[in-house]
Amino acid sequence: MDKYSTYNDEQLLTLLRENEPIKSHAFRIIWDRHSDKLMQYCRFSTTSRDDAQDLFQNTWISFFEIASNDTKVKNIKFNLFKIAHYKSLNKYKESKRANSIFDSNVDSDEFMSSTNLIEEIEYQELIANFHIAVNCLEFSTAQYLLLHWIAGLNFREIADLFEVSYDSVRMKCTRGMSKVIDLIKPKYNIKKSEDIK
Amino acid sequence: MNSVERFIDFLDDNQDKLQETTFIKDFCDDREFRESFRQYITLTKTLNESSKYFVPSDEIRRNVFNSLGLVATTSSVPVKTFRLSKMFAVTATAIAAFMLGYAVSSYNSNSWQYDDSGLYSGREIEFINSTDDLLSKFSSKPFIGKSSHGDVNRTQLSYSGEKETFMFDDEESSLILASNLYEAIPDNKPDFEFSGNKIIDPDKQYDTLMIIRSSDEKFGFEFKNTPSWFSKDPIVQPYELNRFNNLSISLLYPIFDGLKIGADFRQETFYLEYEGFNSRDQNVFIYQQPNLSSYSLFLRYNPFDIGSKLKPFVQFNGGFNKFGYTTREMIGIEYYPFDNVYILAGAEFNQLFFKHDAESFTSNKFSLNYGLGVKF
Repeated sequence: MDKYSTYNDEQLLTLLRENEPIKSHAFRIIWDRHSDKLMQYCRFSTTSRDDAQDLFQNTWISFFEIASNDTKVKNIKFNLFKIAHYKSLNKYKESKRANSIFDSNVDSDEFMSSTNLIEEIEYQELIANFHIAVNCLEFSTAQYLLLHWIAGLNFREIADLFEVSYDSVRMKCTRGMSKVIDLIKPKYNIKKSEDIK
Repeated sequence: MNSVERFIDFLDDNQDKLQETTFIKDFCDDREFRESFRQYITLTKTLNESSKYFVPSDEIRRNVFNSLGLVATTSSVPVKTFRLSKMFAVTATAIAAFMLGYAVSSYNSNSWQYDDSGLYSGREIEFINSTDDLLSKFSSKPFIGKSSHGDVNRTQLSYSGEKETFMFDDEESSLILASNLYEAIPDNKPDFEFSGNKIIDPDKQYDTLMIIRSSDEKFGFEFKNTPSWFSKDPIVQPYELNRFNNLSISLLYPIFDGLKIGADFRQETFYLEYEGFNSRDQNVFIYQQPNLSSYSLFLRYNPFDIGSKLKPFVQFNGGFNKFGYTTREMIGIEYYPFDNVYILAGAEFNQLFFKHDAESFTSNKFSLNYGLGVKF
């Protein structure tokens, strides 16, 4: 087992400023820890798979350039999603995307694994429907929601990132989530919730 | 305050006593509230677990790492696997040596002996199953036998009707073992004699050897370990090594005196450094150490022997694997503790020629080869 894999994020950030092969080791571990969540965020923040992949790759490249030069960077997750958010925002501004447009590219098959059990299909459909529902929200609300439920940032971190009040973030998140649930509910089989018992 | 806000506050433990009591009361009384709460939990749980469907592909990983000039492969080499292949080589060699050694020792420990002048050549043994066949090879006159190591002393043979014996055939220079009952009566100094129990069941005593010796040793089989050193110090290691990494098996066939042709299969790694362009047309250096299965043909030449047991050789090898073409040059020596079993050791220089983006590259490594060979 790689000795660096036990390092916390802050220690790994320090190693990013070392020479090869240490920085490659450190970056691989950071990648393994955060790439899934970041890709999920990128996919939900964009309207196509290609856009998501571009956003994902550009985020990592920017993050490495910043983190390997700026010693003030301390929190990997926060900075990673901050970069992803701003890139996503730029992309949104460029495309002038209408909030109400559903993404015709979103297909539950995209999230399918090799398992074909009925439960698995329902599970995948829920993710796809969430994606569609998030695309129906106002952009900033959708971002709050994704950063909170996907990236795992707390309301305070989101408020700092957007330079808005804590209450504003909390209110938008809860309203956004309510709307998402309302949108999903007709498509979602309530039986699924029985699994939680 | 809508339901979701209440769920969040409840789960984050941000409710005061009154709010919490109200929440629990609503949860107990209101079926719709319970359903909404379940839906909320299900959705958040699903979102948390769904990241497994968003694992970025290897291509994306490579693109990012190449763009940053970083090495994409993982650095940890499973030591256990590496040790396993070494242990396998040692164990397999030991077992093979033990089995073959046992076969030869059982041959030598039979109830007959021979002196220095009557050197036995294991390459020249055959069975004669009928008494008539054996008698037809006898002459009534005194017998002068030969072995591959020279003449043996005069031996007189006679039929006893009860005992088993063996003899030299002077015409074919071969040692003949009779399954029928004969006895050798030495004329002068005996070449060999029975001791102990004179009744020998050849089916039990010689079967193993006969399998090896009866085919005129046309083919050879080698099993080798080939630990290697790369010409450049690798900065990347494979995530996982092949189970039989650095192990090689070869089949050989003699085509001329001292010259053999062979086929070889080997699992190995080469350390590769080469330049290329990524999807953004950026010039990148690529470092890899792939696991490879290499197939090759080779020629081995024994120019001379050193004594009767050492055979130095040179070997030229050409082959391929999924990355490109390989050439190998080796000098080594075969040591024959037994006639059909040898231990091989050699030093080898290996090259891998491969192409990337229409540009040719090479990778070199040195190998130490050692292993066991069997002729059959």
